[in-house]
Amino acid sequence: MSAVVPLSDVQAVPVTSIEQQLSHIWSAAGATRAATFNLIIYRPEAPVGGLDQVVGVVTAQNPCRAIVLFPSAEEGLSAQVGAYCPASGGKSASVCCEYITLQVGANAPLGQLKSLLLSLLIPDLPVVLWWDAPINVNEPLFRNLEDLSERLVFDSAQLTDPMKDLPALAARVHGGSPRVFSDLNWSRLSPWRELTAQAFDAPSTREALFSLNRVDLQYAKGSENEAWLYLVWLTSRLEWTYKSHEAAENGLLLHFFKGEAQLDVNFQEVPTSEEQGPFSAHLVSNQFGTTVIRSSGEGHHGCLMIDMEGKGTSQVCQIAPSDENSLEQLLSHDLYTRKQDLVWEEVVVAIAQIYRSIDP
Amino acid sequence: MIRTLAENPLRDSSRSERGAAPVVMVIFGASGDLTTRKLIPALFDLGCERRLPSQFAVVGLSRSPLSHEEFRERLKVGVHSFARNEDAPPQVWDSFSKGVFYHSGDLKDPQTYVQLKELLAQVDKERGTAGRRLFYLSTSPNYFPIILEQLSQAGMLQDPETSKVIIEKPFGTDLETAQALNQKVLSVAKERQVYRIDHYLGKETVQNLLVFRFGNAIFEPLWNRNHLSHIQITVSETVGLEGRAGYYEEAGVLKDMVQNHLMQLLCLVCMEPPVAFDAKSVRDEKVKVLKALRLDGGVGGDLSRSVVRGQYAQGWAGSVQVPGYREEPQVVKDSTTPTYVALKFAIDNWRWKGVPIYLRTGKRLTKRVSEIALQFKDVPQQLFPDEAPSPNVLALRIQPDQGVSLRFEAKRPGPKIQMQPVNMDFRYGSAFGMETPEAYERLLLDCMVGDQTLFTRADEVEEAWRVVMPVLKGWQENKVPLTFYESGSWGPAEADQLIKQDGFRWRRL
Repeated sequence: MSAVVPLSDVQAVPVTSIEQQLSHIWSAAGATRAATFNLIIYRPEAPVGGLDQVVGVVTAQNPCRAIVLFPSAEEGLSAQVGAYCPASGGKSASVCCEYITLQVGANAPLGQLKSLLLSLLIPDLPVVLWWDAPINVNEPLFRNLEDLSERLVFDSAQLTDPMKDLPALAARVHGGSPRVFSDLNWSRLSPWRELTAQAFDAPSTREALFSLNRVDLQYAKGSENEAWLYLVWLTSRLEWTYKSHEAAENGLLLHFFKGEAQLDVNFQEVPTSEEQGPFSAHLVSNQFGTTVIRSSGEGHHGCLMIDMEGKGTSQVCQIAPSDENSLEQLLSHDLYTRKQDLVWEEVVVAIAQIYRSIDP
Repeated sequence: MIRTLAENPLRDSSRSERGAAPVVMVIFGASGDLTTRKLIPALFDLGCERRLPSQFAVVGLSRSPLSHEEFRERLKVGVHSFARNEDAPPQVWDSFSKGVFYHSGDLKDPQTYVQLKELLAQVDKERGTAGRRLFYLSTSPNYFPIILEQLSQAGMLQDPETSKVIIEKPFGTDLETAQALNQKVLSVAKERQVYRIDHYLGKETVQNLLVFRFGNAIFEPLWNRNHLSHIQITVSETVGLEGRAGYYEEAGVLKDMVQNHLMQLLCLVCMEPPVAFDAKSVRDEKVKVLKALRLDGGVGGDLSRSVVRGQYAQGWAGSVQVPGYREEPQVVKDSTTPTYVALKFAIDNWRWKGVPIYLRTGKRLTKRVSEIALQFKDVPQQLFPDEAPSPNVLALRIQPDQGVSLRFEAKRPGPKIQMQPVNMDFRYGSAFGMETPEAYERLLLDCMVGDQTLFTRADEVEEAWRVVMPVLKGWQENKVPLTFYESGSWGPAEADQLIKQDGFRWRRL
């Protein structure tokens, strides 16, 4: 069932008449407009059938003016406008949101697009850019849209060449950008990070964390970026420093050090059929046993499991609710978060360093 | 406990930064409705959101002879009916329920506690709960002193770092019994172990009161006698007794609602800014308000000018005809238990001197509404002679449609000056689409992480009782007549008089 229902028919309008058309919709419909921020969305393809489900859910949960851009084979800029209300409220007594789509022709001047966007932003409200495509930080359209925004939401899982693109992103983060970065791939990892942390909350299990000897991290095809984020989050939190790597079967053998101690990481891709979920991690302490974090369901759904073997054995199953890692939920969560995630920044910069070492 | 978690280096990046340390929660009175409808669903939901520690267990204790499995089955039904994550995959319940245990015993029998201690030691081994205990007293209040004494005798409250006690309402039946209970509590435990729960404080919008007042610069300068004419606090219910006649006949509206929920709302609205958002600072300020609070019966303290008590007669609840209070099952035919009360208070301090505060609450009223309304003074001069402006009102709605609205005057479009009040409205549900947690989720988690801010302190409870004691005494001495109101109305006409005597009227909600 759709999260929103249209308040009016979506209409194509000249780009100079967008505001007038929206005013007309509101005065005719008798609904209340709500907006707590401006959301600019860039997508590589046109949404099928008007408003797509993801944007519908997001706007129903986070009232905003949504401006969706996508490239078009047509010439110049063209626009469509509409308004949508949460399906639960219906059109009566609703608080509804505006939805503007801009088709950007290949020959459309960037300056014109930027000027148009500036005129369409609701004053005095934050601007969020959701770049729903692989990022190339040197792409002029990306840079122009980024300039307009206070927050950039993207998904590092979409990076086509992570070895090149992630260091480029990290350089921007490291360069003191005033922008808040939200990586949906990082948010997708939240249940994993939280559950891993929980496993070591009990003082009796903490020693196993501080005496790790080896980590075996196996990831399914397509989940490599996620696995890197998890691994480097774990090692950086434990203050392990990357030292070197060597090629291994289906992956890498990575070496980290802390003082005199060494941590070996087997970082391997395994066939999807062998891996339930994006990856699994075995945290091995020779002294205290092994902690296994894995998914018991398919993809990102179902349960995450922790198995703790060895001293202080206990087994628990904690849930990652099936819709928590949906794109809609991830986006909604990230739109609420206003602060820069310093840990993510640290992790991305550390991954970039490792990438540079692997592929100089 | 917080110190221990901070030592987990993986914690500082976790989204659930309010993680709790391993613990076993022991529920006394576990066969009651509260466990099935509120406590376990709240714990389950916390678990679903990974806010419970991995090493967690629940032990239910009551007289009913149940096996662990029977108890789990009973709770499972409750989770399916009342948890927000009722549709979680079945293995989640399976995993949660592995940490659920039951012990049957007589609460007065020391042997029960010896056996409980053995069971808890076994649970520690199985679940890794490390000897940490959270005792939840949800029995009849008569058992509170007995349980506390027995727990103490069994050596289960000795360490304030590893054992905590949550005490459900009602905390005493008057000032004397509240003081006695406090004495008992503090003879076996430290105040920092004790969590007197009032679930109203776990509601998001009640907490938003603090953010609204102290997170914005524009309201606080207006929040005093210079700008406000009076304050109204309304908590109205449409329901009747709902099978709780035994409890309600003893308690009545004053003990059921005013001494706890409404007093807490009043405190949050009227307190001074705390120096920090921590338990001590917030609770210190609440206590100051209660100390300055008194019934305002004018010269001579005429109780009838500050209190109206009522009882619902037959009438309507929506389209259903409902009986009067005295016709309800298990209610005595000449019961004088009040189901409605309207009160007028004054606060003797610089901020509130001369600002009356009106409270009203009752059962079987027209609507289910909880609202705090701050009415501003009239403009000092009538600039528009043909138009009498309505007073500005800042209304903080707690339920339903949680939010804030500000009423002010606007010019009606047209060739001449005509004024019309309009509302500027903020609705929680519109601005924040996310689902809000249940009050018990927030409070149980707070307790587990050791945050007492939203729990009432011993002196706070006693001060709240002190404030309402003249009302109880006056009723006992029949100084305030019992009035009757039709079910489905807004209460007795005498309540309208109470506020009208000062030139105001209740808001039409």
